[in-house]
Amino acid sequence: MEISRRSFLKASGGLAGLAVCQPLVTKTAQAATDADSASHKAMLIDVTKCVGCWYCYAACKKQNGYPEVNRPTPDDPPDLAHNVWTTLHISEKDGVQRFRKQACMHCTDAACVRVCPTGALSYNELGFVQYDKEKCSGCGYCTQYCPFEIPRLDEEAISNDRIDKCTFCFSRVTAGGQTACSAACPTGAIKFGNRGELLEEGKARVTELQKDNAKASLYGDSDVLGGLHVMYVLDDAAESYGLPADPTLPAPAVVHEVIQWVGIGAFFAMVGGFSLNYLVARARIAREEKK
Amino acid sequence: MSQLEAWEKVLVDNEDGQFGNSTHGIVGCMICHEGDSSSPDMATAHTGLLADPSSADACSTCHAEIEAHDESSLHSTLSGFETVIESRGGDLSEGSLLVEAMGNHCESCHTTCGQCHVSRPDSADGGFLDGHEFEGTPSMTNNCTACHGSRVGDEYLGQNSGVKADVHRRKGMQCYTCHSVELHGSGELEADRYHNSESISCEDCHSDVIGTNATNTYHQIHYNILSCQVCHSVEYKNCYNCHVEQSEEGTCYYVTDPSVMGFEVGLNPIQSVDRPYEYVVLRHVPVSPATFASYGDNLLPDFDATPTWKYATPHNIQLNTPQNDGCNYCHGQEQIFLMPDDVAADELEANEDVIVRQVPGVPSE
Repeated sequence: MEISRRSFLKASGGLAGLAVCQPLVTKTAQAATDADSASHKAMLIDVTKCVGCWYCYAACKKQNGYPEVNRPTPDDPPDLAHNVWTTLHISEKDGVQRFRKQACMHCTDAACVRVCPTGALSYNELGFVQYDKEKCSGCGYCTQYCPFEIPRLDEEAISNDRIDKCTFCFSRVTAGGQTACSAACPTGAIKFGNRGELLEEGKARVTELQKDNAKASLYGDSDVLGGLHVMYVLDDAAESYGLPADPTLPAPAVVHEVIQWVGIGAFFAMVGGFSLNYLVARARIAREEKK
Repeated sequence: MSQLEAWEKVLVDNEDGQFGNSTHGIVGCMICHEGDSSSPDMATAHTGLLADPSSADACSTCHAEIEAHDESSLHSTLSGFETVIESRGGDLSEGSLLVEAMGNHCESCHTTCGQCHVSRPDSADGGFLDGHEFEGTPSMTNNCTACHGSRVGDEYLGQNSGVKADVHRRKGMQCYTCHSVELHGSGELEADRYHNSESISCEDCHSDVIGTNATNTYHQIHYNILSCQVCHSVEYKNCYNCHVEQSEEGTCYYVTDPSVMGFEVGLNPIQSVDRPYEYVVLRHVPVSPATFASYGDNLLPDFDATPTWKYATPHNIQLNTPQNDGCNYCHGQEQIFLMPDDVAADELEANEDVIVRQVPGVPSE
């Protein structure tokens, strides 16, 4: 089949336009998915049951192929890093140390997914934010805009600086299993299950705690970024556990979409300009040839 | 207790091979044992290794309450040894000869969480019992009687020649059936095992037959005058003359005279509200004035301050015993009482308060 220059240009312009729109269409559609969808998986973390044994931290390391670790001392807890995907946030109240497992919250409306330009971060049909390291360009937008400051860049590997974060144990969970941290938790502080059921369980637990403690609350229901897939049962104010009381999408993460539409508009304007240029040029060439 | 095979002692996985999936094994070794598992070089891998993490508080992260309690228990503090050494005038101030001797000879009796719940105790040469699996309830013969064997163990299991096993043993009871919470201590520092508020007494189970309202006439008459063991225990081992020694190579060991079977009723050396009895069963303990002679002279200067015949609770309880066959089997029977003639001449003073001078006479009809 012989393709004329004209039809090739038409076809390729259309394809390019579709390609540019594609990621945006997918993201918006999935972000709107109801976080309570029956298929969604989640974890419920009850800080009142956490004793700070660091098993989640060690299990996460083991699951993801990092070298085994010693138990950290509570005075010097490891910060999240490209090779620390879960850690403990330690706070103190009345001289007693309190622990909160800290890792990706797997938001329903995730800033990281919104700003990721390469599609490395995306929503899984089970509700969590999956990560394809092969697609990561290391731009670091997600590390700047995540309201929980979760993704971290491997800054030492300059030539290969990709981000890393909790993957919700993609291979285990998609195969029907539970996350490594919840499997290792000896006290039942980390529970894995269907989000809808865990939400109910969390609410019931909070009701129980509120009998003695008015500050008890559930963190991560649909009021937080469309609903988190890692929810907390807290016995004190969220800030005292190092959690933002009302996390919102940072402005650039929202503007990002507008900018993306502007970019798409500019692309079509450019294609239109070239087309016009082509038509004008062809007419002039034809005129000149007639002369 | 049979010897464990070498491979049994060290292999982490048991026959099921499930330790790696168990609560304690799921996250690998280093979280408790430290060291460096990423190194293929043994010396590097073992740098900082904790062979027994429970000796370094590793269990307290999760089992905080039990460990806090246990820190005050006799199993952990050995305060029973200190109490008795100090009661004989022994100097246990820092750097003293007796502290050195205790470190060499007594510390091995100190036990850790792991020596009861994972392996045999170090003093019985250690070794895993079921791979590295944790046992919530320790094994009677591998753990409890591995240390408490020559006296309590032999009595309870019926291993003293001619003496039946304890009636509780014959009913199938294990050590932990009676001794549970108290093994982790009462939370208070205890002077010895008779001062533990959590410890069990016969009345805890047999309250219906003990007391002034008991239907049994003997129980009515002797309530709070005799300890239960006076009528219901039989011959047990008495130990003499323990000497601690150190070989030229530095090996620490002890030597005792052969134990002697016997049964002696004497006066209660620790009479209290909880133990009001006038007469109790006494056991000779292996101490002698020369116990620590290899470390120095006269290290127990006040030796006579504490009896060498001590309050005892032999674990060979029987319903029927020679002394409870009738009144005349005990009353007037000098041979079952600790009389001056039963005590070595150089220990008469130490036992002044427990020796029976006048045996209770035959009651008139």
